[in-house]
Amino acid sequence: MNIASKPFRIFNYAFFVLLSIVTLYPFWYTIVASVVPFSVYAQQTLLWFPEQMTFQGYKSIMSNGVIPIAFRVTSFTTIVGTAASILMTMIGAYVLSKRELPGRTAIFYVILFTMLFGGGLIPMYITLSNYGMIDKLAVYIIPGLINTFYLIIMKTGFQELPKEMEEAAKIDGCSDIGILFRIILPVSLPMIATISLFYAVDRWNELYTAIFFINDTAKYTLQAVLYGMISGTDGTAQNVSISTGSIMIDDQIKFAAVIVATMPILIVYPFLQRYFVKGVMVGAIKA
Amino acid sequence: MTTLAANNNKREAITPYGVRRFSRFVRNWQMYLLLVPVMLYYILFHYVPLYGIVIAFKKFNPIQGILGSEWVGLHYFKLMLFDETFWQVTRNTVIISSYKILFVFPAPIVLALMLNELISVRFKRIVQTIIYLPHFISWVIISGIIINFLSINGGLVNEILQLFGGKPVQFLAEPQYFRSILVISELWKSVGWGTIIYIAAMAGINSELYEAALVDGAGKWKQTLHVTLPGMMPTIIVMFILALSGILNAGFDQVFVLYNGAVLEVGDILDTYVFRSGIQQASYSFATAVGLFKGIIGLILILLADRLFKKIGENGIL
Repeated sequence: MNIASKPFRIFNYAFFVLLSIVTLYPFWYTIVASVVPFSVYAQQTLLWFPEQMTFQGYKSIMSNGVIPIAFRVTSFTTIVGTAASILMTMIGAYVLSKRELPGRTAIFYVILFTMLFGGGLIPMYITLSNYGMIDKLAVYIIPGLINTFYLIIMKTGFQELPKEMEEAAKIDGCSDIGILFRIILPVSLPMIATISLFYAVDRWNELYTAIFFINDTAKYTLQAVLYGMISGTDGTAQNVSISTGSIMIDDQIKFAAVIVATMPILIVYPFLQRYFVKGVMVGAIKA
Repeated sequence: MTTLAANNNKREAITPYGVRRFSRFVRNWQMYLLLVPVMLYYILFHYVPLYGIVIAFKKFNPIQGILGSEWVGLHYFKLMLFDETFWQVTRNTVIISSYKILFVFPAPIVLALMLNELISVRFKRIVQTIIYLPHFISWVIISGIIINFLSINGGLVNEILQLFGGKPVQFLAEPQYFRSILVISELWKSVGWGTIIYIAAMAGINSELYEAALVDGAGKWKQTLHVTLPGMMPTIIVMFILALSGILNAGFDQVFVLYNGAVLEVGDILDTYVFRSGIQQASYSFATAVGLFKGIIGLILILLADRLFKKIGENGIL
């Protein structure tokens, strides 16, 4: 085996240690800033370690109406949206994977075209308005129901499955729909789980649907509320900081909100990371 | 096996040519049934909105509706071409995208090469887990962190600057810094995740090529130059062409959460311009015209990219 020179190896390791620190530090800073009293926050520049901790900031934002409501909205759209998306994507991918189906190619191109060209924001707004979906929770779930890119990945995944499985089931008298749910689904569970994760992350992080299509702030997602707090249009951070007797300034409250908005992802990520990576690798190679 | 063949033969024998064609459709009725909700979705939410494009050719009035609004032909397109802001945002979009292609595109490639040289598998895996993380964090959250770090009172960057004797700067409000902030933050967010596809490409290189190079006396550096990079070239080219064809998308998500009134002249891109004039200023027809312009150019670019792929020997996307 050939190994690089020693100085390079040392440099390489040092580089990646540095890169890891640079990647993680902003998150660490945010977490620490959200749990220390203002006196500590004002003093220390780098906030390496919380000398004193207080969870007052978190208690306050969770008791104020805005964040918990938005949390509920986002959880709802993520769970329901992901479930609906995966179901529809699975169905579409399965049908498109059947090479013998007459008209399949034409249908595929019809679907593919939507990935290459769209009407744009205004036509979409007017269309949704005509459907009566503006300012309704359904607008989080239905317009984005199928991500065509994920559909294509799934379709390719289904095509890779051995045909004998289906043929055996057909001989046993299984219907096409039955084959999908009783045979294909269990076998493809890893791929379906991975794509579900992609959908879930997309939904959790979504901002634009709320900003474009929702007016009632009680229906805003966590990201939209967070955006309001950061850009100053929402006074929650200031209100909370005043009511906590300025143990923390509103910047710190904003950090607490940031952590609340991203905590599920931060927690879940280390465990699910390899599924994401595998999904991308599979998708990339297919593409 | 024989039973299956016999069944098929029986069916073929019974039906004449025309009826056999139709029976293929009928036999698959369950498939078509499954397809109905899927196609309904695409028609209602992707094709029906296409009709809305016609707004770009009408003086759209929400009360009169699409049909009732007056037809004005290319009026809004002429307006667009003479609009200074339109050219400014187009320029910004292309410049920002170009910066990103110049600085952000090569980074994952270099990083993948370096990752490949790490010997400890455990260290490599830990590093990868860490550097993939920013990809999953939304731009809203990252903007919250950036805005705080760069703020003029108490922001981390300014505090460090002052430690070295400098004066604090309101970075996000200075036009000269804004594009750099966009590029650097994009780098931070995407460089880790971007290595995945290049690592996959490297894994596909035949190890015998490395052995042959070793026999020829090539050191690490020469090997990288003559084996690794050429082996990755197809992937690099594909990614590069894709990046080029997306040049009109400078990153709405990122710009939207980071931009402000002070940096409009350098940071406003096509998508944010459409958003502001359409949704916020209610210039529906104008915004639709700009959006249509962007969509058509984007489509042309992708078709060109596809043709380019085929020319260099790769399968096209289409």
